[in-house]
Amino acid sequence: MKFMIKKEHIAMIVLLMIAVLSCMGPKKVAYDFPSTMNESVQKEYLRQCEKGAVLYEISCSGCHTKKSMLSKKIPDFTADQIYGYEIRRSNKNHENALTAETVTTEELGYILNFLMYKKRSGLLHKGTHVEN
Amino acid sequence: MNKYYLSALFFFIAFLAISFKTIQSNSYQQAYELKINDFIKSESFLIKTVQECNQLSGTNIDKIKQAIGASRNKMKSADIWLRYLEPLAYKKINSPLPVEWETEVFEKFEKPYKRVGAGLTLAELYLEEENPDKDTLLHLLTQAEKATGSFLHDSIVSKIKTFDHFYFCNRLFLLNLASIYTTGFECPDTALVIPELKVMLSEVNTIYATYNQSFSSQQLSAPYMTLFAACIQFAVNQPERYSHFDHFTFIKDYVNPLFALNQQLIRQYGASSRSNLDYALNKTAASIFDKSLYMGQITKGIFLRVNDEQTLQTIDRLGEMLFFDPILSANNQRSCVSCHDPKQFFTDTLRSTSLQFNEKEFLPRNSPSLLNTPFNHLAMLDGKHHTLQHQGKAVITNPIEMGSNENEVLEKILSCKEYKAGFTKLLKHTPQEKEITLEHIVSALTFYYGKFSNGTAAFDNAMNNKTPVNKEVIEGFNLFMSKSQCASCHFVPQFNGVKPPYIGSEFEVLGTPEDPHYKSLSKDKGRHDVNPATETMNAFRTGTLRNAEKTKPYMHNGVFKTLDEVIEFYNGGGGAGRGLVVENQTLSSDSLRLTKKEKIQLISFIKSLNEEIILEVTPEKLPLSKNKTFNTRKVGGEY
Repeated sequence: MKFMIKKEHIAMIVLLMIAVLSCMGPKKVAYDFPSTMNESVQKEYLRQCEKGAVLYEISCSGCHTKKSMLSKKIPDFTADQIYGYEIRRSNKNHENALTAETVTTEELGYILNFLMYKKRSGLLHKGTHVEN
Repeated sequence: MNKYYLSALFFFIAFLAISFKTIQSNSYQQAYELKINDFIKSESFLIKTVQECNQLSGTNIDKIKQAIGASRNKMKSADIWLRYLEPLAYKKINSPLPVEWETEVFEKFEKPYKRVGAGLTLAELYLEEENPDKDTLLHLLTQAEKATGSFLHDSIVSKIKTFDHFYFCNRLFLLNLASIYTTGFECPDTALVIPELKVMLSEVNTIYATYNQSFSSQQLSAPYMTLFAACIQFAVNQPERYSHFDHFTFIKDYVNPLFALNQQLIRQYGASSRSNLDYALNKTAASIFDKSLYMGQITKGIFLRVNDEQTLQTIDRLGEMLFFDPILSANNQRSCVSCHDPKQFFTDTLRSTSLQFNEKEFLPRNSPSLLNTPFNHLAMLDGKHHTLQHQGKAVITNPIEMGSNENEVLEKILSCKEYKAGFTKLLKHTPQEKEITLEHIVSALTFYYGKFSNGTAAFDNAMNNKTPVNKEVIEGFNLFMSKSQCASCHFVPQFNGVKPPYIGSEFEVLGTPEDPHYKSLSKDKGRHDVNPATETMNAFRTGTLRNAEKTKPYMHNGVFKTLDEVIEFYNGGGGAGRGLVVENQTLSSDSLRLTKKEKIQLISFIKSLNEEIILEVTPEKLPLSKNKTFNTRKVGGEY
């Protein structure tokens, strides 16, 4: 009896790989803090960034994270694109998606810190600071 | 050959159609540019008039005032755009104050911004001063002219090329019709308030017509246009003096229904805003007197993403128990109720200022009612806290209030099985937090007491055409909006210091005395403690008049025990009017000259702002703690 690799086998292997990868859970985010930042400040930023990472996942990733079958990439935002409270208005979709009732000002600060200090993914975020 | 003719004809028709459309879509823009240019011309004429005067006195001042009046009318013709499209430039055109310190909702986590005003109102006020100087006057006016010019820059003109901005400009215009345009706010000559209103309404009607012509797919509806025509007719038939104007009917029968129609059109056309001015405003509120019109605070706090009823009930129940639980204080004897008793409209009506933690001394400031606190962007009378949750934490940890500290109070609360189980269950709704924090505790508290701010008053019901109010209330409101000058600080509809578009909290210097006999000025520096500046010395955030009858005593130090005393204070021109030295008083020191009858009418109106508050049964017992010494604590605390 000869063993034949069929399309069904390949599909099963792919599905198995996806299942294994998803069981591995989210990767721990790495951060790039400036080397001049002192340790206690860095610790506080890390605390905020970790909260920001969770909040980003809840409130932002649906539109901004680039997802494929095997990976998720959080884009790299420029400093202009994540400039303070103005991001509530800089993107048309934020009028309803990023209000004070969906993300508080404090939480927005955590998310912005997370996006500022997370390790670069190499995927540039498209869009301008203020779209007219 | 016929094919060529047909093609040429097709292209010619297409060309005409495109051109015609272009001309149409430009008529609104042309009207905009024409009105801005007219305003600039009037400002240039005004500046030239001042330049040609040798001295600022006698007939020269009359000539300048006349030119200011003409320029103000041109400004009012374009006000619907000016206020909305570039609010910072507007502060140079028509600022009510020389300096304003601002902490608007979206920037309140930043240091307050100093904004120096200029323009027509300040120029007119400056002419009233002794020996006005020509250069200073010219400086105020040239800044206004320059700021008006900025409305022709591409960055602003581009905003009026799509329909969206129009409905938001119009919304702000309608809110201002209800709140400031008829009150004398930013209009030093009160004789001109109603004449200017009439000019503005008529000019807005022409703007509506050009808008409808240019944006035929998103037109103002026929019912809106008909009602607006009736609104103009109503204003035209009204007396010219603002104290005789029927503000009540104007808002109830015209402005508020127009607002509802405009909101409906915003939703129907899917108008989208990119302006910070719309930050706090709700697109679904169908009345100016609907509590959902704007939100200053998020009472859910850390639980803001929770929407299911059962979980909200759990938060509410935890908040209720905590509100009555003295476990929040260091000695387990003081609870929130100690100073904010629900039976006393969530305040302490028995003392000028509540007892300190040490049970001997008194706090420096009157306990404010917690009702309607969600409609302020800054909490506390000095605006020290940005959120109600920060304010809650500060009270718990303040040595003279509850005297506790974060770790201790958390440990004590979690020593109670019921609290621990409840908050542990809620942790899944706040995945950014790994464990229960004080933020969870104060969020449950703010969510609990925040719901009592949803009450409506008899005045709201009258404005919403549900139940009428009597004649005395209506006359009181008309006085409130005019002669008694209350509405230029206590803005419709919350009657607090938050004016349209409801993104900032205003502070005022009233010259409140230390004692009811006006022997000295209160020593409390107010806002100055938070933001030290000449203008903020003795300034306090303007509180709401809702439930005022039920929330005595009054002023930041509770110096007045009755509404009559408060009315007398304002009638006499505040502290400065009573001879106290208040260099920066923002309230006029002139007497309001209110008659006895007028004072009674005003108080009747204020009483119509009492809200129907549905209280709940006080919890009979508090959660038991593992630490038995805590279990002797009493519901609501002991002092």
